Amino acid sequence: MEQKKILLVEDNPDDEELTILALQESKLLNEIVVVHDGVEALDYLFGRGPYAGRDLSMQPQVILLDLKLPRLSGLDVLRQLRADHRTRLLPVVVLTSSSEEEDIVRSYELGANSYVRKPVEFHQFVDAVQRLGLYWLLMNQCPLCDG
Amino acid sequence: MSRERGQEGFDNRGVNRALDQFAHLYTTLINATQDLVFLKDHQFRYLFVNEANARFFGRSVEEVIGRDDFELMSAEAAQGCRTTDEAVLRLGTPLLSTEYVNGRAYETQKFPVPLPDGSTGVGGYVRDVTTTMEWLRKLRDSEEQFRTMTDKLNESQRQLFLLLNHLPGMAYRCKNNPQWTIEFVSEGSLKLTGYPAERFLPPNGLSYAEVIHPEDRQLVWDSVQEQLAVDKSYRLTYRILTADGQEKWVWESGQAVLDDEGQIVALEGFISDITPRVQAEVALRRIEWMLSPQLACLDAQPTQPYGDLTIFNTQHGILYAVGKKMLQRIAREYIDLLGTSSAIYERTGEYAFGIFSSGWCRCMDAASFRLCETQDVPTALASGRWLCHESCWKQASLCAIEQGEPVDVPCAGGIRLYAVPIWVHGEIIGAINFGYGDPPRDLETLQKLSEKYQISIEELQAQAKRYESRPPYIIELAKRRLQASALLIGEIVERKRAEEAVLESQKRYRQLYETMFDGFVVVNMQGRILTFNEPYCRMVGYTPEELCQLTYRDLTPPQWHEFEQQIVENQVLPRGYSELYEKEYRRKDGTIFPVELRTILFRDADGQPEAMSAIVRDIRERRAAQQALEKALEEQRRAHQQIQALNAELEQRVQDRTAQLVAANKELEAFAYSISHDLRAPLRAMDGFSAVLLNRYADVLDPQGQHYLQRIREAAMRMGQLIEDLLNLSRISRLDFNRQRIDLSALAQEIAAELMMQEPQRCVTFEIQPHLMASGDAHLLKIALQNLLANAFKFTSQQPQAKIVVGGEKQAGELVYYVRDNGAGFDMQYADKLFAPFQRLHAESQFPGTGIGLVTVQRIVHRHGGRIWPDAAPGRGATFYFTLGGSYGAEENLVG
Repeated sequence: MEQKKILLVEDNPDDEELTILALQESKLLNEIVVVHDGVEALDYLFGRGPYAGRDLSMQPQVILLDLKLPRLSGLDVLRQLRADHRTRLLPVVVLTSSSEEEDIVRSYELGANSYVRKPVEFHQFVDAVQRLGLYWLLMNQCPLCDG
Repeated sequence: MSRERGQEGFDNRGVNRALDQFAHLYTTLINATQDLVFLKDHQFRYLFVNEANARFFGRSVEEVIGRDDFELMSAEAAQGCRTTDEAVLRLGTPLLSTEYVNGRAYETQKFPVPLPDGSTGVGGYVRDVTTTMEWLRKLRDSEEQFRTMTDKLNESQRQLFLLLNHLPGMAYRCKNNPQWTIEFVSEGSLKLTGYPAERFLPPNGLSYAEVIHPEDRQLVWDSVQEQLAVDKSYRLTYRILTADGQEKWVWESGQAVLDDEGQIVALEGFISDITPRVQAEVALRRIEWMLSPQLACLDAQPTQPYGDLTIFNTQHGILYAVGKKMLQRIAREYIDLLGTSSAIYERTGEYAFGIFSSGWCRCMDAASFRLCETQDVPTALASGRWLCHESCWKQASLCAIEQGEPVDVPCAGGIRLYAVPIWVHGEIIGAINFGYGDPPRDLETLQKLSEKYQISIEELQAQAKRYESRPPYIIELAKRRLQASALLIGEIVERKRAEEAVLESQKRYRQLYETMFDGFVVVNMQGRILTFNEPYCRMVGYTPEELCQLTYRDLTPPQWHEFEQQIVENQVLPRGYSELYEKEYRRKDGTIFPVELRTILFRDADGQPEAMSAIVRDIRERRAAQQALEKALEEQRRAHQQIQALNAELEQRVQDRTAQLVAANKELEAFAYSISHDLRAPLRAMDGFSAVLLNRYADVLDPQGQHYLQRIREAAMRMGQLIEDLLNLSRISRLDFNRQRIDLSALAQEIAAELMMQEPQRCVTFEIQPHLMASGDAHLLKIALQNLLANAFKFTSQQPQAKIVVGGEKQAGELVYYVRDNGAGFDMQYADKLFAPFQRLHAESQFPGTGIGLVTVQRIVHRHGGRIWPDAAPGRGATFYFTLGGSYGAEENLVG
């Protein structure tokens, strides 16, 4: 189970902490890697910059991607992931405050596997995180999981 | 008729003299021949011999007459002659023989000759043919040879006639047919007819009939046949046309050549030129005519019983134009020559002139008028029984009018009519005619006329006898005069018409000139005013007398003189008129006013400039109108510019506003996006960390502390809901709009089901009118209906029997939808606050909400171009009506 990491891309420290809290509340004990903007997320995933030399065979089980990010937006990250054969098939769950139709549509167009709105109410938020964690970490069979 | 003329009208002595002369010439001719010519009585004593014959006997002509052959020749020779003489008498036919006397051969033709005393003598021609006998003898044996010999003999016989060629005339032998086919003609034909004798010979010879004057051909035939029937001979006078078209009068005498059965086989005769004599006679006759008192006075003609026919003339034609007196004078020119009748007709057949000069014509005309059995002249004219009128008008004059040329026809009254159309300018306006020719004299014709006209035959005979026959020459002359008269009448009518046209045009012109609105003035080449009309006078304010003392320059302000002079020199003089030009005039009172005029040049008969005229128009009013128009146009132009400036400004403003709006919209979008992402995160943090605090540190917080944390959470939640609603509201304006046909009933059912699911414990009755159709944006209408139904659901929450109705109805031709509930309702005085954001009419604790829902609904309705309004009362429920705007919505059926 060790290798089943979660990559959380989130610039807001409140949301970062709440997400981690929610994951803890859900009893999901996987390693959570947090990056704080789009560039860092790509560096991590492609083993560049501060993450140069990282073993790229150890890719996260799921990426929780916020859309509104400094430097490079979540949609740009998604586009680049889907353009690279190494990351083409990584499960990406867009986890964001926005309920704008446009954001939802663009995310799916660029190849997001799921779109989850972060509710304001904490219990609902915990509930949502718990469900997606269960699904993507335990239920879902993906090509890389078996690697 | 020619024959009759020879007997009656002409001087018989002249004819007899000519006959004597001919007989003398004939004798001379016969004496001149070398052949022997003789005539013996029934006892064979010589009645006549020519000189050649007397010489043959060695005697004088006188010595031979009264003797017989036995007294003049040897008994042998005499007996030979006697034998053939007796044979001729016995057989009664011509006999050819050859006799030999004193060793010479004589060819002899003998024939029986009827003598005045009733006995028959023997006539003969004898020719010395001794020199030809040898040749003749060779041919004598066969029939063929005999025929040839006969021909030869005929030839020799004809040679006798050749002698006639020296006579002033021509001898001939011809067939008795209408062509007078010539068998022989003497050389005299050339001199008489202009055609050489050969021209008449068969096979393609000219027939003598062709030489006879066309008008006399029938007369010649009739006369010859008539006389032949009596005594096989004929004499007559008639005209021929020579080869060069010359008309000649000839005298002809001839007799029939009979065959054995007494049938006419040919005619022989002699034609001589008597033109000089006839001409002399005609000249004499003309003098007699002119001196003849009974023809001089047409005016004294007795009138017919029915009076003057010209009084019925209603035409503006010949009678009108020429006048009765002139027509009489014209008619006299030809009627004097004929002494018959004449009429001049208008084209309609109305009489312009009518006269009956001869007793015959008067008699016939009066008789045929009686046949009409009415005294009313128009009735009689129309009856068709007025035979003389019928002939005169229909058969002659109308024919001439219709054919456009002279006609010559027989008239009902037994004579002939000659009618000539009267032309004016290529148009026939009537006809003129006269009757001519001798009244009939033969009993048969008279008998017929007597029956037809119901006049006694004696009366007719008397009238016919009284008429003095006119020679063709006179008739021709009269015809020519009639034609001349037709021309003259036409000419007079034409002139009259032209004169009237000129008068009429002058009259009109004068009227026009006086009544025209414009001034008209004529000046001489020095500019002196010669004539002008009344408007001109008024225009310049001078009296006519004063104007006549002025030139046009006196009326023109000096600054225009040079200008106008240029126009005269450059336009009027070279080409006869000017373009329209404007200048000014000065009235007598000194007022200057503008005029417009055109100047026209008049030239005299030599083409020299004689005068100038001008048509002058006062254009003060026009100028004023022009100025007013220009001013109005200027104002219009200015107004137009102002409008353009305003439009431009407006356009600019619209553009500015549009740009501002676009910017504001973008800002709004960015704002909304920002809210969507950023505003909720702090709320989530507030709620999240409060929740964590309540969970994990419940033991360190007293109930009051826990209550405050709970209040923080609720505030965060409310804030979240407000943001949600505001985003939804802004989305209404930002969403695309697609109008389509919507089933509102189905939509409402769906929403109602959702609501019931949210609060299944509630007891709510939904009454949704089925098939309620609307035209609008499906997404927006769903939001609107969701808000309305959610409101109704919410505000009926305290009703034990909640009822929500969705329906539609026509109001003033407009389809109005409504959502009605039996809930809390509200006071209508606050109705205007319903549609302001965040305005609420109920306590939050009673009915939770953000106050955005109805604003959203109103915005959706407005985006559809519709209206929304409430009807409510506190405690009695509320109804929200809305329309969806546009004709599309209005025309939709209430139900689908």
